[in-house]
Amino acid sequence: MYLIAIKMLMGDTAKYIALVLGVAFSTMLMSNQATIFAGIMERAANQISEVREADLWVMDKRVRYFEETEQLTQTQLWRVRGIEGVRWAVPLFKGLAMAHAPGGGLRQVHLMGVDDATLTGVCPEMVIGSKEDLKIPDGVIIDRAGYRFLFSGTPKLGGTIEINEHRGVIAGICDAAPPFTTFPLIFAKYSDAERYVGNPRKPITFILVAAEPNVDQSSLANRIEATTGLQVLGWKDFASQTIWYYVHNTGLGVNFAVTVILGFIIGAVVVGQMFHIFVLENLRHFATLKAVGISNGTMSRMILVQGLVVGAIGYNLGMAVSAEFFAFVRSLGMDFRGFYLSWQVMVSTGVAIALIMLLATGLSIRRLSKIDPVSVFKS
Amino acid sequence: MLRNDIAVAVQSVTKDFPLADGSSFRALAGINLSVAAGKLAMLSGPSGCGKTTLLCIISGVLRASSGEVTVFGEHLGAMSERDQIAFRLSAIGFVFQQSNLLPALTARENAAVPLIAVGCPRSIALEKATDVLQQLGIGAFADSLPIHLSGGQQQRVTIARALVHEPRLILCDEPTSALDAESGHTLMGLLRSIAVQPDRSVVVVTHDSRITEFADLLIAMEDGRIKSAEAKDACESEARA
Repeated sequence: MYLIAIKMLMGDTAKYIALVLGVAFSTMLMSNQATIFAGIMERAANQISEVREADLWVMDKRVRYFEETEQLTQTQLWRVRGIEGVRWAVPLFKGLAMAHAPGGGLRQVHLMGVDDATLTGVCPEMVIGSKEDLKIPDGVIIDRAGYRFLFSGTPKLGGTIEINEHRGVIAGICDAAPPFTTFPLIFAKYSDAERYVGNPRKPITFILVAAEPNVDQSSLANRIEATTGLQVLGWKDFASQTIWYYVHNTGLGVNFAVTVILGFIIGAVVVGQMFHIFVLENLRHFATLKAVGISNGTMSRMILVQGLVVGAIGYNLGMAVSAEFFAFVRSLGMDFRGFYLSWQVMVSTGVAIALIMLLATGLSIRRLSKIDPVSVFKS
Repeated sequence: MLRNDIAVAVQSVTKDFPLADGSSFRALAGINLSVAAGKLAMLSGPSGCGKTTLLCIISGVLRASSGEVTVFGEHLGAMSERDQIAFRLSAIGFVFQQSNLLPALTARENAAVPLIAVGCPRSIALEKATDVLQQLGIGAFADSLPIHLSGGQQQRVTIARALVHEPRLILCDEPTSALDAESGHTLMGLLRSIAVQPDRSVVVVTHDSRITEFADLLIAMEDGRIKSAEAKDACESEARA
């Protein structure tokens, strides 16, 4: 009977296509907006989640998110190093600088100063060169997107760059996850970074901490907080705090949520209404089946199969369009990298579509259960 | 007459429909009727006399307000709604006034619906449906969609759908009303020759006086009662008004 149900569905070509397109549009709208939102939020925390070596981030108590920081002193770093359970603690500098390329290219850049000895905090994915190359005099590692903006031609090492009027030598090119802003990322040794920004009195933005083996990180975080009065967060917590800052303090969350909800409502109303009309138009045929002896249960399952087919085809079509859209957008330039359909978005959109189809089929099944087979006997 | 020779037995059946003002309308008033197995009974009468209501009660689509209906020994009134539906699917074939074929299915697929519904493998159901369509003279149109068939051909597909699962009772509601005289005559001839079997009966509700020649038992109804019953062979079929 399920094949019959599918034939009934596809037999009304215009309505079938409209139903599938309705689901596809809804899928595309929801997945597209959710992906853009997730991409933007991921960018907000990318520079935190790329530092894999550290267990804890230590920062000023007033820091609410990654981009808004209060500098720390060298003494505070030493105090952290002296706390029991700390395996190592290294400074991380984060600031903005102006970079000039030899060809005249000029751009504001994110300058990340990493510990001279351990290089903790350098982007983990190298395209050309290695992290260790950062140790050469005036060596800097630049991200791929930044290199493409500041230099022309095939990426190569050895080129020079002027950072706040100081010389930097391209020692490596990395594939860093894009930051929230589209500024290029430049990694330098901590000592060089200090120099680039004029040797400030408080040179440290974050202290990155690794715990001793078998030391509970949350206890260690509490200990550091109690001893230094600083704020200590695990990288996941800090990333999440940064993301939530943008959600709460900008219109981004509300804006994207409204569009996703609109996608759901449009899907539910359009598909639900169209599916209901499809069933109403086939009411006489369903009444005939009921009179012949097809049970309500069988007919309900037929409707569910129809809903499943429409939902599955529409969902896949919508996802395909969405994936193509992001592939196209990424091809437009490096600034759009990082927008990809995640499995989380695919699953949650799938759940939303399943809900839409359940609503649509539920209404139709309710109508179907009330069909009086006697109506078939009336001319 | 042996009990299992009786295809349909209707005893003192009444049917009341509630009206909006709280009163009720009596559509059937104490119907007594029996149709023997292997016979074709025809119910006729003016519009609103209760023919279709009686057909619906015999099929279990409607429940009688009082009285008892037995189809091949099975008491419909004693069955739950679920059992009635299952009984309809297995024991009764329907030919409706309008063909009500599923427009997206071919003639063969439409005819196979009851078999597929009882769980018969699709290929076997389609094969059997093709055989029945051939018996009815429209084997050549087995793969045609209903929209490409004439009214008479569509009704033959409906008959095929009613016969394909070999039910013991065929109920027809005005099967010729949408056909011209010649097509109607041909259709009834086919119904008579193929549907009526020693262990199978046919009950036809009709307005069409041109087809009464095909009946073994001709029952005239009026105002919810049986006005007259004329059996061509009184030994095998009987009707009591």
